[in-house]
Amino acid sequence: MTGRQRLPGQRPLARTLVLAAGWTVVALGGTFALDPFRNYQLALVAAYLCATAGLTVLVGATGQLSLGHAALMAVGGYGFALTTNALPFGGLAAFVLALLAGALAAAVVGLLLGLAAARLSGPYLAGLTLAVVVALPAVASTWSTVLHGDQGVQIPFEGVPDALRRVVALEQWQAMVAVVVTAAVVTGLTLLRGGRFGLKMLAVRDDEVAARLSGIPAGRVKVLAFTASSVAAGVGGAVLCFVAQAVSPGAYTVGFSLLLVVAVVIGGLGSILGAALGSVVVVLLPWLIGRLTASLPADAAQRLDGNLAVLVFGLLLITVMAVAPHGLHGAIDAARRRRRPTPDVPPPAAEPAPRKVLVPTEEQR
Amino acid sequence: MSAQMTPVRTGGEPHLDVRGLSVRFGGLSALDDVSLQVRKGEVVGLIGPNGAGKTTLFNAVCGLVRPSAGTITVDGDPLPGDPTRLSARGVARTLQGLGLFRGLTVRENVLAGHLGATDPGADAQRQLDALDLAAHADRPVGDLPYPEQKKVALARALVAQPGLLLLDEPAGGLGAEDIATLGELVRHTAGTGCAVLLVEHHVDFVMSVCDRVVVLDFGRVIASGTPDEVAGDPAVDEAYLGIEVTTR
Ligand SMILES: Nc1ncnc2c1ncn2[C@@H]1O[C@H](COP(=O)(O)OP(=O)(O)OP(=O)(O)O)[C@@H](O)[C@H]1O
Ligand SMILES: [Mg+2]
Repeated sequence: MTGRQRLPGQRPLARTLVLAAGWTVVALGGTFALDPFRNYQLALVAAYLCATAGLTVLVGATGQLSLGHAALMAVGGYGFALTTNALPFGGLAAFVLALLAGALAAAVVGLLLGLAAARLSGPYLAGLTLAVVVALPAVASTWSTVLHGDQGVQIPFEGVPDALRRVVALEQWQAMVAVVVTAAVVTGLTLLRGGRFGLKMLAVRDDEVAARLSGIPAGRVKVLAFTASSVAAGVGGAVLCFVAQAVSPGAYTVGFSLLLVVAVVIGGLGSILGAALGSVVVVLLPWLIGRLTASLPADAAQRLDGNLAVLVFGLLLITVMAVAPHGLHGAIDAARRRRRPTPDVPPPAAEPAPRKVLVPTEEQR
Repeated sequence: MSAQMTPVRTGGEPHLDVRGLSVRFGGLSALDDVSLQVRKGEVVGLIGPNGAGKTTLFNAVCGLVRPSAGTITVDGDPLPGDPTRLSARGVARTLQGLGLFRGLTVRENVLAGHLGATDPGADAQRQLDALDLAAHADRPVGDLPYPEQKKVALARALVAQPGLLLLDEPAGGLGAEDIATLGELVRHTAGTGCAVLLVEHHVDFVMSVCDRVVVLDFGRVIASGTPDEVAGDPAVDEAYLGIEVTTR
């Protein structure tokens, strides 16, 4: 095919790349300003962002809801860990290979799920993806010789490369790696969504029959979108494994999987910036709550522990939905528009009820 | 056989040839032994009461439902039976209602109908200009008034310059003025050699635009011919339950 030039209305490739590079540099510079714990949190945000960005593109652009992205993260994490342990060497080459293996493992599982997903819709798809997360501990213990059940898989500690050891601490190094990998994932997702494929996803979401009649293979588009989203989540899981030096089913619970969805909804469905904001909330909120309960008497704190986080997330979700139905990103956009008003657009026309009789000719009337 | 097989613009071999088409939904016979032909440059109207099977015939042509009997050929070759490969065969269709991609802009809607092309952007722009839609090109399609949205649906079907155009109730929900414009557009499209098959309940429109009319009732062809012939057919009046069909 020769028709690869940019479609009108699409952002030029160079602009996307410059924007991505800019954000990456800002984040990398930021790591120098953060203390080790904040850098650890930044690495978590970056890892979660891979998954939430993949999820927000999937839900926003194709309308497919996955409650199972935590499981796909786990697949990426196991792929990363097992490959790291299998390789006879370490260093950058091992990291890249293990990362690719994690992405590939998530792609395979995502492809299989996506094939099933393309035939399911709404609650059935949500149920199927949820079942995958629920089944994760059982899978880990069934193949416990490889996956080591609840204990999970550890990888050997590999600190900061020698050349940088004097300049950066371990947490900062991990945050930097996480930022670079996440930047690559987010850039890939942005390009995917902004190009021809993005148009196809949106068309399939809006009207599948019309899309097929326009020559868009709806089933294939949905499967590919699910697979791409799974790869993003898998890379996120691999990054998380790199930071924690371990992967175990206990980290990828149903609760965590739902939290990813909450992050995407709070941030604003379909928005990658929203996914980033949502990931920050998901990382910071439990920590803030932990700080809060720590100042309470011991028995009260014990009773509140865990439950309070769920409660706060629930309340936050309800508040965001009520106050800003398009999430944080939507609220930011709206505020920006209020400051810089755009010309009035007439309200959308309602579709008239289809005429259901033979319309008589003029003379008959 | 002589070598004089130059393609015919009007008349001659049918471009769309439907023969003995039957479609069943469980016990319901939605189409029963329906045959119809549309030649290049010809506009054929398919009319009939609600539930007569008009949309089902379109769906069968597009491969959205599987016929239980019959053949459908375009330009002498059977259709792929796969909706996504229709546009490559030069077949385009509009859906009853709008069938637009509501989250996309006007331009993106038209582009989406033409992604296989070498330069979809230029073709889409040409089509938007032709239908006076260029001024709204980058607005969300849902912001446009209904008649304009109907035009976008047409633009999406026309952008690939199809050889066969299927229109399902193109005048539905339009006022007299827009219907007149639509009539001109349909005639113009046929004038470029496109075969047009359209479903419509609007008698004036059908009678003024179509070269031939086929009347369906309960999945069977009950009349066909020129608009005048069909309008004078008592079986047609009866199918429409007392609403008299007259022409001027
Ligand atoms: N997918 C389907 N499954 C079952 N029955 C169907 C299906 N599609 C259509 N039918 C039935 O087939 C018959 C013909 O429907 P069709 O939509 O073709 O009618 P139509 O002539 O287009 O009517 P209208 O003027 O209301 O659009 C109807 O009885 C309808 O209920
Ligand atoms: Mg119909």
